[in-house]
Amino acid sequence: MKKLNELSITETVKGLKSHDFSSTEVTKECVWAITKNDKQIHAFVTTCFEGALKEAQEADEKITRNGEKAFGKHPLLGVPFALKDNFCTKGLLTTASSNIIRNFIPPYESAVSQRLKDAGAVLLGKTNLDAFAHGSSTESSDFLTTRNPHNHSRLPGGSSGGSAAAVAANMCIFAIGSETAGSIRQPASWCGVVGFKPTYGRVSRYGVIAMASSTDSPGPITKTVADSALVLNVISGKDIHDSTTSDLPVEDYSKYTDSKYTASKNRKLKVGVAKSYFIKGMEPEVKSGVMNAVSLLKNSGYEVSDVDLIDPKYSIAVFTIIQRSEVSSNLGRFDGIRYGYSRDEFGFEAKKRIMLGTYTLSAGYYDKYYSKAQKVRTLIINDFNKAFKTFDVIVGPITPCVALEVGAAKGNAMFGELQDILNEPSAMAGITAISIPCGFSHDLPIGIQIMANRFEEGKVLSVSSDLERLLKAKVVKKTVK
Amino acid sequence: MLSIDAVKKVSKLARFNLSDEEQEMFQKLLNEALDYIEILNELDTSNTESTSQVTGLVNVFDKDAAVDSLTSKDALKNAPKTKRGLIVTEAVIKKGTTNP
Repeated sequence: MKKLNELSITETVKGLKSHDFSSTEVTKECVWAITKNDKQIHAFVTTCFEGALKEAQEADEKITRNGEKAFGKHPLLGVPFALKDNFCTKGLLTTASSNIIRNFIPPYESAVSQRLKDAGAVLLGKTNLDAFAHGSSTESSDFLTTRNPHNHSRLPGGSSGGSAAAVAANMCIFAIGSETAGSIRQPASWCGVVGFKPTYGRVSRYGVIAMASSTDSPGPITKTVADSALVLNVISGKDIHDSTTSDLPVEDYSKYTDSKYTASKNRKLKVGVAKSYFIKGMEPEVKSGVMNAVSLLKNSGYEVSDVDLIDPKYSIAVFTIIQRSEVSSNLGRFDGIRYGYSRDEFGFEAKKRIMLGTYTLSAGYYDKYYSKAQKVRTLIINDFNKAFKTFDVIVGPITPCVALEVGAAKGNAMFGELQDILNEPSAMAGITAISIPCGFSHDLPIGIQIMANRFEEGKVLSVSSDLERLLKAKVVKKTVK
Repeated sequence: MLSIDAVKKVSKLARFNLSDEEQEMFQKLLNEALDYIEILNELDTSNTESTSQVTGLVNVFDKDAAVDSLTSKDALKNAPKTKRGLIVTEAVIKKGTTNP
């Protein structure tokens, strides 16, 4: 029987509706899990247990008063979650895991956390990240290196490593991360949980401490695909504070994860396997883990064939230039005058990225670097548009390897960008993608990613939820033998 | 390849005070990254438009109406130095300077 902190969102909401347990009980179990395990895992920068228990109590009162009807207005009522520490929370310390704003208390709330609050979710605390989201391991955090809950000598991935570890270790029911290129998908895959990257512009970036404004995408990290749809329903939608948000209406994404829906619609969907993503040097277990998942799709009736995409090696260069250029501009606001400390207190990774970005945008070099990168970006976008004319979704590996050992990121000029080679093309194109667990290499999780074109979250959700069911059935079958 | 002088210029633009050691270290790292980036020259983009944003949105407007915003008290809460409701900055003109 599952402990309360091990539940999914779906299970938590079901149990709260039937009065099997209270939000206070679930929240207390999460608090206990954090207290017991976070000394080893270091997922959290800040916890707010007092506030969480107060919110849980308020949720319980609403449920007592209005029963199931309370969930109509507040679909995540009483569900405890963790929030990456680059989302501004009014009155609660927000550091981006950086020394330069180690004492920053935002005077306003991010759009995402406000929407989750309005939906009744209970905030447990702020999770660790690579400082300013610059990295793929949390080793660039100025405070802590988070550990992978599957093996504490390994990294959780990043930059949303704290959020992914918190979900994997059942310290919360779900978490929020953000992705510039891979920062949700890669840690989700290294930690064996589900990471959803919405289309750029689907979710408001208001109140997210900016990294690369043309690709940053907030998104959910959850235990199941169905859970990610529930969070997406709440956080998506136009926001007047973020003029890059789409005014496309937000549909009910949870219908796509219903097995009745996928049974009737999915067998006609065409799945492209990104051949060029199985790069040289990829760990063989990652390749076989992903290909086994692909054959499950094929055997269950999907039309599966290879798709040719631009070699991802070009995306590393494009992403490095665009991201570091936009970072140098965005981090220009940290001048120690309106908030924060002196610019010399930036961590090494932030300084390195600002330096390159400043150079690539400087007079005389803008055309050679930034402009050129923006043109190759167009080639990448056109390439995906062409592929999506034939295929409904494209699948492939997320990372070339499973979780690396602590210390792996140090001293590498481009660790983050190299690790995220398989996520950068989709990030540059602003399309949507999910990472779901598809196996293990010894004790370390392997993930597979499923991508679809802009605003086709439904296709990503329906194929990935179907694959999730197929993978689960395969495991069950193995033990029955 | 970046010279040390070029690195010094960049660090000035980026408003960093780097030590000689740091300048040398960043010179090495920047050159490694610039080396990698050369790969883009393999692709012909002579007839390609550049993409500056992927949303396709154009001219997103908001109502020209006053709304409640941050109070000045809230806006000043994180400022290291304030005086009479204003944020204190470093001087940009030296005391005693007159117009040339």
